[in-house]
Amino acid sequence: MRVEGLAVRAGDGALLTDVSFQVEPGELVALTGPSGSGKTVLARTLLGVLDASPGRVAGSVDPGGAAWLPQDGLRSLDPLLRVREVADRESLAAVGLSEAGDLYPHQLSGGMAKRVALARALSTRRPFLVADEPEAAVDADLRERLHQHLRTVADAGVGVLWITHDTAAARARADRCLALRDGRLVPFEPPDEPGPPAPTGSPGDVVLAVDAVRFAYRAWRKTSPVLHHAALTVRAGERVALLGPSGSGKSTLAQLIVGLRRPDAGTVLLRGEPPVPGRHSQLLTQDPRAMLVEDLPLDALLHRSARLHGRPPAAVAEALEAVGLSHRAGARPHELSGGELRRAGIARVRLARPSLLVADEPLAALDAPLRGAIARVLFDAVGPEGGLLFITHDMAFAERAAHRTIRMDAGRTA
Amino acid sequence: MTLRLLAQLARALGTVLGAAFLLLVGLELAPGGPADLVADPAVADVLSARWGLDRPIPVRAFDWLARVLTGDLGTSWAYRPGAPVWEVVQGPLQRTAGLLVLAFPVAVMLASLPRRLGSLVVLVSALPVFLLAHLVVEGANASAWAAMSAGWLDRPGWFALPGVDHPVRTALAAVVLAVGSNVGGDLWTDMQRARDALQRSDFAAVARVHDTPGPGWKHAVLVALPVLSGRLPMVLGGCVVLERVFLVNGAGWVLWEAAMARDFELAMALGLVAAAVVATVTLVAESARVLLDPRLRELP
Amino acid sequence: MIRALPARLLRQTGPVERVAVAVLLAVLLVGLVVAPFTTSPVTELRGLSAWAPLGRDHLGRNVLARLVGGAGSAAVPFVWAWGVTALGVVACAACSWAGGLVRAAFGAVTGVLGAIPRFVWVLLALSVYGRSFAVLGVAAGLAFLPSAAAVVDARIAPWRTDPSVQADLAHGVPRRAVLWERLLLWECGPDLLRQTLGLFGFVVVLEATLAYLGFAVGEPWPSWGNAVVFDWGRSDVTAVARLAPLVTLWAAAWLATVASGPREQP
Repeated sequence: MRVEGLAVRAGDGALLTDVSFQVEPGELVALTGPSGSGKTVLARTLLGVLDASPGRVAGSVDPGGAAWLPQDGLRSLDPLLRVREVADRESLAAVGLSEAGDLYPHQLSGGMAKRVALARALSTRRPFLVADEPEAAVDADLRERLHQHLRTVADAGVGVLWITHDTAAARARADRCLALRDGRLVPFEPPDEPGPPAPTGSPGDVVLAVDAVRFAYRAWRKTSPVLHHAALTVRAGERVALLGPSGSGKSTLAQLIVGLRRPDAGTVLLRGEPPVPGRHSQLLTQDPRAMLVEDLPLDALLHRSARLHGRPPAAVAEALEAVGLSHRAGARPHELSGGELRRAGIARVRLARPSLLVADEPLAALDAPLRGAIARVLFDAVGPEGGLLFITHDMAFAERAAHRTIRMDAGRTA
Repeated sequence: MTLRLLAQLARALGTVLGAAFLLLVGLELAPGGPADLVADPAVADVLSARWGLDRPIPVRAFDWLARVLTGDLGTSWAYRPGAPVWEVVQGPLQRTAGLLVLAFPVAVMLASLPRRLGSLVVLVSALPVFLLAHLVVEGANASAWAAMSAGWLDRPGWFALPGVDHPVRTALAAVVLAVGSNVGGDLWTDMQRARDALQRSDFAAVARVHDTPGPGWKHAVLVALPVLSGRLPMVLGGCVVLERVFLVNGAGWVLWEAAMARDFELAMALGLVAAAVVATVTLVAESARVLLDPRLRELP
Repeated sequence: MIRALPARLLRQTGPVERVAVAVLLAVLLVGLVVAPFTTSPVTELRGLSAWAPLGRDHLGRNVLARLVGGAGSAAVPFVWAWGVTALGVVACAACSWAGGLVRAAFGAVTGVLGAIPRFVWVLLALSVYGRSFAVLGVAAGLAFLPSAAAVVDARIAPWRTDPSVQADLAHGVPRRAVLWERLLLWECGPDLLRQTLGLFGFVVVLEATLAYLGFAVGEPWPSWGNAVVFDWGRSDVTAVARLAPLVTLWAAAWLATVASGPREQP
């Protein structure tokens, strides 16, 4: 598989400039780079599925007959075909899904769909494979297994181009690493990730007390229990990490704590009273885009929050300053990058001066180099009088940044 | 899947019953009634009691429904006084059904026209049915006149005569029905959008990369069914107008006459038939989608 | 946020929609303010009669004056229909937000309304309740409601569990502000504008159809529908005078169609 002098333009901007590299059979080559650096454009150009007029692509591309593992596994499967109709038995066995042959795509979980997509790519028996961020939106266990699968595939003689965010995994597994920045190939040097600040000070009074909470989602004819026994406390000035696999009920617990839902049994007390949305607590959602959606300038959105929480207009400038967005006050949400949106969301919850901030995977959607800096902004937003409860998958991060970690499994806290 | 199909059936029945109920309530809420034609209030009360008009509206609604369900659509008061509604509407319904059957392939053809003709379809289709029909009739008459003047044609009035089932006339009527009042334009736009979404989908792109079969006839049918069945109410409404302009003695013609003459039993029966046709076609289309698409087979 | 709404509508609409809105406003202005003084056969020649850029019909009446007067018979039912549809849309938004059985019940009602063809509804309503612009408008509004409600429901129902709505609620934004201001006016605003244009096209065509078939505004009162056919095929009237009503009606219907069509969000 060979790419030489590839350049792709869209409108006035260059998406890719003078990109050249090759992949030999049996080689696992990682292509890393931050979001927006042109990784997916490169993959789609290589495979010949870029939505652009041909005149905008220059240079030579020889995919050498490549199979494709797209980023969104579920949407890449034909909804009308059973799993065994898209992938052969041997490939399904290779990804550990021999039993799933009779299922339809809508019956698969996100992780299973991704493995089926991999099995489908393997069934083509092609000499090369382009894997576009296979680790996106899967939990840590599956991520590890997918990386092992890629290594196995390469060892069996297939040339793999592995597009990824995860520089650490790339360095550990790949034969060679390429790095893309602003559409150009640059030398691969994993950035020194500034770690999150270690916890300081000693916690004060109890801010949040959750005790023996049970909760089930109820729909017509169906009750799905999510929380069986959840108990935790957060004190003023304390950072508490909540860890657990997908589906263990962490996000539901977060909704109960901020008052969006009521528990079926047990108590949630926030500063000694049942939670009311927006009174003592704030929620930072997992998706940075969900925090600010209206098509209005950032400072107008924040002024609304300031009015809602009885803060003077000057507080808006101060909050923007604190999250490092003073220069973007006039930008609209869709003009902000993922990291800037996260900062803006933190500015918004900061204006409410919450006693408790619940952050649902605050850093998951961000590129690794940004995480340390944004973690600082997040911790700063709570202040010494407030508590922070953050939900995360990232055990290393939690152990380094939190006073305490709480594990959650199948609706129970330990 | 069986449950899902039964749910569809129940929905269709509910729609027809609901339509009957709405029609009846709408009629009953109007001021005045048959008994008010009598000057003496005492006699009017007696008549009301004898005809059952003094019972509450819901009771009468279900009474009427029960009659309709047993096949008794009532009696025409004014259009053909004393004739059973069923007898009056039988022939016209067949004529209208014939028109609809002819319009269907035209609609399918319109929906699959190439992209460059799209704006033209939308522009022509924006003509209301009455205007399009009017232009077609005028145009056909003018060309027939020109042909006769030139001596190519010796039968005057082959087109304009009412009640004559000339194949050219019927074909023109079917085309007008499938095009006018935005039916054709909406069909084309909806199909184009659905087809684009299908082509842009990730699984179609993967199929192109892997050289495996992409979206096939099942996908096309799944996309086309709701688009086509969703246009049916507009087409049925268009029938009324079209039959007036083309002088076709179909159900739309009768409905118009009944509405003009305030022959409510007849008009309501035809309104109910329209609702039943829409509900049935929707039921068939939705059931076909349930059979084809595994995602729809499970109850939500 | 409400103050910023007009700016948002302007940003979210293309040139065709803007032209269509301008035409709608012009028709409303002319139809509700100017037309009442021209609709009577006695007074319609006054004022505009001296100037006849579109020529005269075979009775010597000013075609432009008749088009202006015809706008009245389109504008008055439109105002009624818009009021009815707007009430229905508000109810629909509340039901979609409530979810569950309430939403299903509202969906069933609009399903029934949608199963009977729009034109049949209006015809029956005019026949039962008598011919008037109010009846025509109310019936048209009810007949149009299913499609407007489908658009609103498809937008609001998924928002119930959307993270951005949860973020707003958890931030302390009151529920009514989230539903009415953010979801209905802000998020659905551009769609509601397009639906308004669609309703306008529907009412114009409906009124013209009924007038053409002789069930609404009849000669000598002006309506776009009866003006279309009045001089059709007469050789003693200029082509402009014959075609002007037809083109007016066609252009209004086409503009409303193109402007109200759904399109991808930017």
